Amino acid sequence: MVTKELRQHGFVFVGLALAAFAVYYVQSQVLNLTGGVLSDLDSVPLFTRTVLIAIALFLAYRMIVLDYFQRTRQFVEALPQTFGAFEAVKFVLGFVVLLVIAFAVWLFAVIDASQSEPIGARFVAIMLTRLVLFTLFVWSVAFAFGMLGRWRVAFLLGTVVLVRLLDSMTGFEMHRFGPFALLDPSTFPFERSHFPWVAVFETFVCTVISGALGFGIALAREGSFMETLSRPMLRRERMAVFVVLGVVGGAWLLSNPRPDAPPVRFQSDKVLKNAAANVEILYLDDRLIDRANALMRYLDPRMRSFIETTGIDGNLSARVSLAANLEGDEFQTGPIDYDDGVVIGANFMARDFAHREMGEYLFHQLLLAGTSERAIQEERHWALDGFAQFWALDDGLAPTYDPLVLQALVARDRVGLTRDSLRRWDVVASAVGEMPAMALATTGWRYLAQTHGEEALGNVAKSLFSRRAHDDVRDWFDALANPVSAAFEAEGIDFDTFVREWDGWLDTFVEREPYRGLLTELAGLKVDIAPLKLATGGSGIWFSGAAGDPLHPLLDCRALHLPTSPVPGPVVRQAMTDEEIIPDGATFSHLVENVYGTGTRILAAVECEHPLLGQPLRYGATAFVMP
Amino acid sequence: MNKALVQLIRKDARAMIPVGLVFMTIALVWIVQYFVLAAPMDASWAAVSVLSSGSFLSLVHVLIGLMAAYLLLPREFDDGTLQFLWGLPVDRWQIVMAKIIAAVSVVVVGSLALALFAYGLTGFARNSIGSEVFSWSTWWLHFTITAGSSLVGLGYGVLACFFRRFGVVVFALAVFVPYVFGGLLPSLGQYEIASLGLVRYEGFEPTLNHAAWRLHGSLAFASAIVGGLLWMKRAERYQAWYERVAQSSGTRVAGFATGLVLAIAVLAVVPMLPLVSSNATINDLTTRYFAMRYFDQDHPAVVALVDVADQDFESTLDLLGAAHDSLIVADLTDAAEGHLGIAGWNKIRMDRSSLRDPMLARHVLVHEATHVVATATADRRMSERSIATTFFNEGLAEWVSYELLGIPETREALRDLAAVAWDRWELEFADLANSAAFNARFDGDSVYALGEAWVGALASACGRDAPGKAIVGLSTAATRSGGSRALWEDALAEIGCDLSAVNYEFEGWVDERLPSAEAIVPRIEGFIESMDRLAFRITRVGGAPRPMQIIVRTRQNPAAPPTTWTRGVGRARDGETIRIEFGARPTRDFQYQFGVVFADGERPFYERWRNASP
Repeated sequence: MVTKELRQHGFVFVGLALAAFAVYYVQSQVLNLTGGVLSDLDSVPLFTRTVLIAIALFLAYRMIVLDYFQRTRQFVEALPQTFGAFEAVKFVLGFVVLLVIAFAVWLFAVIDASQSEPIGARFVAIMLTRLVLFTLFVWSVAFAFGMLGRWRVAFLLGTVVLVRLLDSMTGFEMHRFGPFALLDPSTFPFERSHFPWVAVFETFVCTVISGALGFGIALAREGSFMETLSRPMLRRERMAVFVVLGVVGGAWLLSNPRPDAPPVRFQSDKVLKNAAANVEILYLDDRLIDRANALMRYLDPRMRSFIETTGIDGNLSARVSLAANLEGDEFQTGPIDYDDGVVIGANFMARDFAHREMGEYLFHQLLLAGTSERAIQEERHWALDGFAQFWALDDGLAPTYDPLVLQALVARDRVGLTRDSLRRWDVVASAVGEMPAMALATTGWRYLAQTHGEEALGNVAKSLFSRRAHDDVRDWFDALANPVSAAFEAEGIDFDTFVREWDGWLDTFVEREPYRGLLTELAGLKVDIAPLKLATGGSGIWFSGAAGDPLHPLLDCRALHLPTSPVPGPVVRQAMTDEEIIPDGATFSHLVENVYGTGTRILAAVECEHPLLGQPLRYGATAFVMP
Repeated sequence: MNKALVQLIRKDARAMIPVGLVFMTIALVWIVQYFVLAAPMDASWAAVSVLSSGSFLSLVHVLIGLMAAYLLLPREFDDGTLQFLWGLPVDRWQIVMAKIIAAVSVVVVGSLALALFAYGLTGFARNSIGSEVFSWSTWWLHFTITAGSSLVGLGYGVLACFFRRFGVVVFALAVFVPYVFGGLLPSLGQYEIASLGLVRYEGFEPTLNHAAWRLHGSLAFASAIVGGLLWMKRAERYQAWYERVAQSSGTRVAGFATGLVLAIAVLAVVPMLPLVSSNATINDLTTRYFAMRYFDQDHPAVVALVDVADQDFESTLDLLGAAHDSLIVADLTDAAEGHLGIAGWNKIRMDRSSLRDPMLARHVLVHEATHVVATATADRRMSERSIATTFFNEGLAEWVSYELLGIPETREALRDLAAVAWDRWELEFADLANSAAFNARFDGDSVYALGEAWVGALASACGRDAPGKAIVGLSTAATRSGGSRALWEDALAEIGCDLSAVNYEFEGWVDERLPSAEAIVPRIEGFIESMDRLAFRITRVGGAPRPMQIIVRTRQNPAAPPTTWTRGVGRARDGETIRIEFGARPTRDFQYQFGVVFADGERPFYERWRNASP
């Protein structure tokens, strides 16, 4: 039988060995070219985990599957042979061929490596144990799959997908298990002292199981079972295979998820805690305890009423940690845990730190956590922005002048206030700047509270913010069934009418002073931004601006620029580089020189902060390519 | 078109049902992706179209074209149907043409249907900015790339399928080899078939990768013609030859013997060449913790290193609160480019040049040995989360080395670099904890400096034993899910420390250090003076008054290995402008970066990477 196999497949054995060496050579050369190779033995795991497996599958196809397709086995069975000898010969011969290839590659690598590192007997023994056992495992698996005949591809694909899913989605670490651990590239070329007994045992068990499976299939019902398998699959059989694989895989995934990182808990003893309001403040330095207390006094009542009003999960906590690298009006989000709450970085030791702005940011992030980010879907985004700021405000609007109203009026002048502009909130915020857009949204909540009462406001908020996202098609149906307007209509408020009346309410401010004068002043500012080639040969961005009247002496304008992707997305203000612009009477100009290379796509804008506006307003946002 | 041709096309189109099923499967995958695994609101045009996944889509469509060719020609020939058709009163060219027309029709219609389906998917998207990405010109580009890729695949397939499985192997190699070597030799990149799907931008306007399309389009067209001719005129003869070769053991043995000899020549002789040319003798020296292999000429330097190696290693273990019972193999024969040493599981490889300076050799050995200890203590989990931990891993090794060996001048230079980099690049912790994004924008080697300073802050904020404990914390935290920041919050919580406390300490250190560092490290400003000759005009501003070495380096993109980067140098005093010329552009689009060696023999400070395209 051995002679028959050699005569039949000898050609393939030699060809495979030759191809294996050629591929190994290419692999090792590529590895060297990429740099950072720690040992010349690095190429062995790379080869065995890719090429050797491919060879094993091909050998199984040639030696087993084709024999059944071509009915060779029926002829061999007629010969006076011991039951199972045919399969045993194939198993042993296939293993020997694979082992010879693997061993030769390993030997070549060892000879190469011995020039630069000592190769002791124990190291050789450890490597050979790993290599032989891995090869035996690979062949026994290929052998078993080969016995599945025409079903082998389906089972093989199913197994590969299942293994990948297990590894990526559960706590099961495939690369540390049995055969994968044996040929782990991070240990195989380097472990000289310890035999990997656990991996050896696991691999041995897997090998025995797959070998037994292969022989079991081959010998079941005196070989007729395998003959059945080698026949083409019926459609219902195919379906059954996929259903079984899907159900088993799905069940495993659901039952063994990768453990989540635990919620953040401050370790320092410099933490203010308020269990009733679910707030913790990490202040890090005893000198800052007063500031932390002031922040806690601000957050305490708001957090209590926030959870009650919005109906979001009461277990969500707010943790604020000191982040000294930030500006006073700049905030950072740490991990957001949908079940536990949010961690915010804020520099409450900064002189320009403002409680209200931090509150806006915190409530915004809490609403995101509480709704699993459902609230940021664009048609609800204005409501999220507005509610976060509304809740952070100290009192109602100032009777004579309120910067928020001015910001809202400026934003409204630029983008309008309609149902459609609310739905296209990301575009609106990019055009006027996040803060003026937020102020516009805030006036909506203010108007709602003023005209329909706190109860209606609470009910609308609950309706908008008490449901979580599913991250699948249910979100789409949910958005269809529960649009923002439905939350208003449930309170007997027609949304179109509400938006119209809100717009009308803002109109009442336009003719009042000081709003009228300020609006005229801000509208008079015209900004021009353009890339240019400099006389020195470099390139730059030219920012210029002019107003009808001399600019307010305290007007603070900054040039913003950012390299962007050609595919537009929301722009985060913090990501933009900004430079101060010095006005000169009624005009200003500013040049950014040689910062960006030719062909770089740039988004640039000017933001001006009027002392009475309170927040910067964006002008002339434009995208271009550097010459 | 005559009636026979029409009938043949119809018949061949029916044989294309499996291709139709492939198109349907792709649509099904999209449905699962955007209706089961994500909300359909996320199906923006950028996400589903060639704008973001052009290479992948292009490769899939090339394979569909290849499949169509294999379905039409070899199968019919092997079934004998083609020979039957040859017997009909129809010209052979008409029969082959009918097949090609049928295949072209099916793949074009299939690509059209998929492109429309993709557009339909984006109807679910609910984002105004995302919606602005869609335009009918980008849809047309998407359709052109996908349908065109199918046709390229079909063209190659007509020729490849003539050679049956051998054709598949050759095609696979043609895809595989440029893919593997494209990263190493950037000019090979355009031969990659997947580059058909790369969308180039003329400013903001997406357009085809014309170079790749010219190349593959013409080759595929030529392949289709040659393949068609072979099928018409040589199909029977090739089949007979193939069977003769397959059955003749003599031919087989001769062929394989020749191949074997060639393979052995390549495998055995080529790697031996460096050894033949080298007459170096190799020695071994083993200490309690190290097994060192080195060249005989380096014996005095290695003996000096061995004298202190074990003591340094024990100090390292003490400082990290770790234990290590395995022998560490140290290969001191390496001639590396771009690094002084690398380390892994109980193995160190040091660049031979580091042995010339005894203190440098000690520094490298302690640095790499720290990596070995960290790898073993964390049971390799730090390298499994390397994107989040690289800065710590390198910083820890530097910190241990400087804590044990001192080397104040080098450490001071490193800390100046860290403070200046942190400030000028406007870094945050999130930047450090994402090495991939960091390397794309900044000098990747600066993590040694930034990491060392950050580990110093960790030791100040949470105790001198905190860096060693953090390794254990990381190994525990790495088994759990969560992003980089969550990993660090979790890891430091494991050792009773707050990430915020460490960052607070670090910020304080930067504020203190920055004024003196700014006085030492100059700013480097410059621009591309000539794109044709690739010349840069560079001005040095500030820093110590003496002349300093100015460096310009270029790379194809952030993924290009450092071995493919190019480098030019010059010298400049404060306020001086110099010109550095390369002679030629590395590739059409590339990145460049200016640097300065502000302290002799120490790491340079580099400005950010900038993009350039003609």
